[in-house]
Amino acid sequence: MSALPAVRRRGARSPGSGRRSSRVKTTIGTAALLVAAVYVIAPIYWLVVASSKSTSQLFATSTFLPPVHLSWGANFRSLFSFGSGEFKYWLANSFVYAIVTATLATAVSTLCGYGLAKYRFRFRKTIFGLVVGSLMVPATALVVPLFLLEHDVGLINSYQGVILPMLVYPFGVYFMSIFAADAVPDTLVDASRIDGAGELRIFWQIARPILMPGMVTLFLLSFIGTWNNYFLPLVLLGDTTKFPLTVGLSTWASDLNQAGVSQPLYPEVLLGSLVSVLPMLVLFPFLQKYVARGLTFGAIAGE
Amino acid sequence: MRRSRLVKDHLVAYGLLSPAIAVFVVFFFVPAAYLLYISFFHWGVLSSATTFVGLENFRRLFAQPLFWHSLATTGYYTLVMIPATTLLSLGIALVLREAVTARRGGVWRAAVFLPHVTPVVATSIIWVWIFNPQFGLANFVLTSLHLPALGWLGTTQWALPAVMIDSLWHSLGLYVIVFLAGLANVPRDLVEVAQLDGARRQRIFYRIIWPLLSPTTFFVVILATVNSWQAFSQIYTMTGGPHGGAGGPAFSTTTDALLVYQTAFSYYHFSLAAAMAFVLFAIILTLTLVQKWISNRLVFYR
Repeated sequence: MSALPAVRRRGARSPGSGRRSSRVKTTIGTAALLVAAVYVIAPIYWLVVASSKSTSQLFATSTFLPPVHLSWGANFRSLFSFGSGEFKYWLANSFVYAIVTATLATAVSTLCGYGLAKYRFRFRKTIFGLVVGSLMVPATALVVPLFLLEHDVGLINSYQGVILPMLVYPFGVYFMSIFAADAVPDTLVDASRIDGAGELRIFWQIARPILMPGMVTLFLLSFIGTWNNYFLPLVLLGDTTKFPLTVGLSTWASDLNQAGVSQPLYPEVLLGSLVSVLPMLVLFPFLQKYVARGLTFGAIAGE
Repeated sequence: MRRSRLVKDHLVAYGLLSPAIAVFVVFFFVPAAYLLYISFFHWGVLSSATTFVGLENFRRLFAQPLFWHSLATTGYYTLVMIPATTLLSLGIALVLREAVTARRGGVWRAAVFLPHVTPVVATSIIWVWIFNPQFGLANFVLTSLHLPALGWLGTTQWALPAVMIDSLWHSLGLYVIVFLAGLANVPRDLVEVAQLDGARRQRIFYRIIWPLLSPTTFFVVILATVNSWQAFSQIYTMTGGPHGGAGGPAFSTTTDALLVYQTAFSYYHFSLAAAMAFVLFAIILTLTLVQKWISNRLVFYR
């Protein structure tokens, strides 16, 4: 797959144009990039700085400068102790939702994608068409019936109720079926059959290692998607101890806008936001190429 | 032998597909069918009595000024977001490709991409702060440039643009990465031959890069349309969240998705919300098909 974006390997200067004008243009380009970088980075930088301040310092000190006294310690303590420690549930829940969903969604999509790619059977085209078609359906539209159905069978307010709908991963199936078609040669599968390997053994011992990079991509995309998901848990959960970070934080932040809230939770909300961003911040540089491969897949496959 | 192979293939294939078929049917196709069903029935919250009302829900929906208002708001939001995201991300991708050497390229790319993988809720909290009329960075920038300070999220005129700036920030990285992938597929020798022939940069861009990039651009436009039309989290959290007047002030940020949510879960008009969600789906589908139709004329497929 050549989906990885490659920055021009050779020098940026083009052989045809004059050296000076090229250098000026490169400078303008770099300047534009710096402005874009400020736009991109400043909010996250601000979050790191602001989360280290106490409430009084937040309003007294300059927005972009670090505080006189770092209050991270105190903020952390109150973050985890406020409201009988609900934040630690949210943090744990977010990990549970993200890890379980990503693992299962990757497994389900890989099995299905591999099956679609490597076997010929009735309704194969129809099923593939349905998968591609469901890519077009906005998740927002299905939330209302999903809520009513889950309500009827008692799945509301449960971990399963949030995780199961997220296993519907049309992109994952689509991605894996194309990936498997490319990566696992039919000849290899046939050769293994002649050697007497069963179908399950072919999948587990031959195809699975080849499909691993694709599975990593799907796992990460699903992990990020679940970690960041807001709409679905917001609708399906009412019990605050089952909230993921996103929903929990939004209830705190929402209270900030309300008049008459006894204790302004500014430091807790800001530090809580930083904690929810942190896994992405720390993991992202290492995982970037897998994530980018998944996200750019549609653009390349469309050609 | 041949026949047993066929039967076995079917068994194995459907075995592999069965978990996916199960979750797709139960959590996708059944809800989708149910959505249609609800929107044609009157739905009592407490009573289980549901009566078939045909198109009554749609008639009531179309008679609501707020519904039309939300469509207009969503349209405005989408119409600004499509060109803003597409042009800005294309620009950044072009600059990234030109001005940065390969060694540092990864760092820049990661930096631009980073916001996209952060939770919208957390970053919306940051942006609410940035748009704070008194302490916020936005007004600090405006006043430094000798421009008047704005009320941002407190005003009907600027609340939605404030959300747009957040959304743009959050989604930009994705589209930059997509454009970079598209640019990497533009054959380098083609560009170099043109350069040797003395073609200017603009000319190379318009005559070579732009046409070859058009499938990518099309993909970005579709993605931006679908994402903008169903935007929820950033709008909802920036304008009030679960405990306060989301969609305000004075419904100025009440988009389609927000109205669906509030109709269902604040007012418990499930059938009206279902009809609305159905319209939302129909609009997105139509927009995609229209764009596909246009693209068949404009996009240059190799």
